[in-house]
Amino acid sequence: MTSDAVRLPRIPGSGTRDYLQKTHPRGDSLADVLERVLDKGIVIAGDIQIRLLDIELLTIKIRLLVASVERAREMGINWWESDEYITQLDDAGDKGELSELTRRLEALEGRVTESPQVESTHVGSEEEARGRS
Amino acid sequence: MDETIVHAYGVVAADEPLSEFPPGIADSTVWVHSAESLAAIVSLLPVQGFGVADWERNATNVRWLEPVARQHHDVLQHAAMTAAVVPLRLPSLYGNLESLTDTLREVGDLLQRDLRRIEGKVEWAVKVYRTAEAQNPPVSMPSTSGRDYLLARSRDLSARSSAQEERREHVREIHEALGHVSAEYVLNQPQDAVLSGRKEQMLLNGAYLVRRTGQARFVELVGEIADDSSTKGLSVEVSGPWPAYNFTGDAEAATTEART
Repeated sequence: MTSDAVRLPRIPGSGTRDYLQKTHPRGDSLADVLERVLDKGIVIAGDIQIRLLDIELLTIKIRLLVASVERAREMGINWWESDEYITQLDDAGDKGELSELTRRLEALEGRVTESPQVESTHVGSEEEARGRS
Repeated sequence: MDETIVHAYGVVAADEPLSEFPPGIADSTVWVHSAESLAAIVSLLPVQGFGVADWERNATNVRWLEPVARQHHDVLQHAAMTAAVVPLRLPSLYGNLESLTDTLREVGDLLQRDLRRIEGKVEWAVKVYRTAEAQNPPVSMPSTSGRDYLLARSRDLSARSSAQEERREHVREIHEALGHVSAEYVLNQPQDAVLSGRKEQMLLNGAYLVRRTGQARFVELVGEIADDSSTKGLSVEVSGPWPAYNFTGDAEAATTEART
């Protein structure tokens, strides 16, 4: 049922249609799943359970992590350290975007500690550019 | 019964015939909760272990987050195989079903708009990696003098930068070709090598919204592109179909310029 990364051109020889309908074992990369479930999709906070600030904070941390593991580690984010995704360290991120993310992360962390619960209903996803330059 | 909290995975039209969901977060039972013309895919989570404090505390704990993220995704993936589903950001928690119903009513227009946007379409992801230098690497002649050395060095550098320019251009062409057979696209930040699990540098991390009826054509096109790209030092990977994570809630995303 899960999506499966296939390195083309090795689409199974039985044909594209079969390929599309094939049920795959769990093969999604954790990065792909986290990037989607934590940074995409619509945010509809109902009777506030999680503070919106926390959601945004989490989102920015995910983006930082996706862009540069090295930078994320500097920021104290190190979830992957215990898993098999470590292959090599490669700082190939976009410096401009990273410094902007870092600035917002710091600003948000400041707000999280001083702000009360956000009680209003909020609709929509992030307005700001996501992962582009 | 222990205290529970409602988690909503995504939103579909109320008349979608969905059933037999895989287990939800914490192996909970997933069902469809209707509110007028919309319906939320939901399950009940124990407050003990999945309350607000637990989410906040575990937000950067991958051991806790991975199974949660995967189960959230699996539920959406199941729904997306047959239905248009608007994914909700993880976590989407509600105190009770009445509160969720109220929220769905309140933001119904927006959800309907997103549902129309992704109706009959799914997301495919294409990544392009740089596998090698171009096939004709510049060869430096043995230099016999300082002047020869500098000339050779300068030829090397310009060959390398034109190779980079060509690669960039080719990635742009790949993206344009895929965009041409897609309803919309979003270009995401290329993933860090540690996260992608690949040594090669990622040059393109694109999401394409493709008609269900056009998927075979899309995958075929990626195959042709992959063949063509392998001689240019690029490898192309496709995955999908995904729920339309990248195509809800942000109409501007579709106009993103190619980032190569």
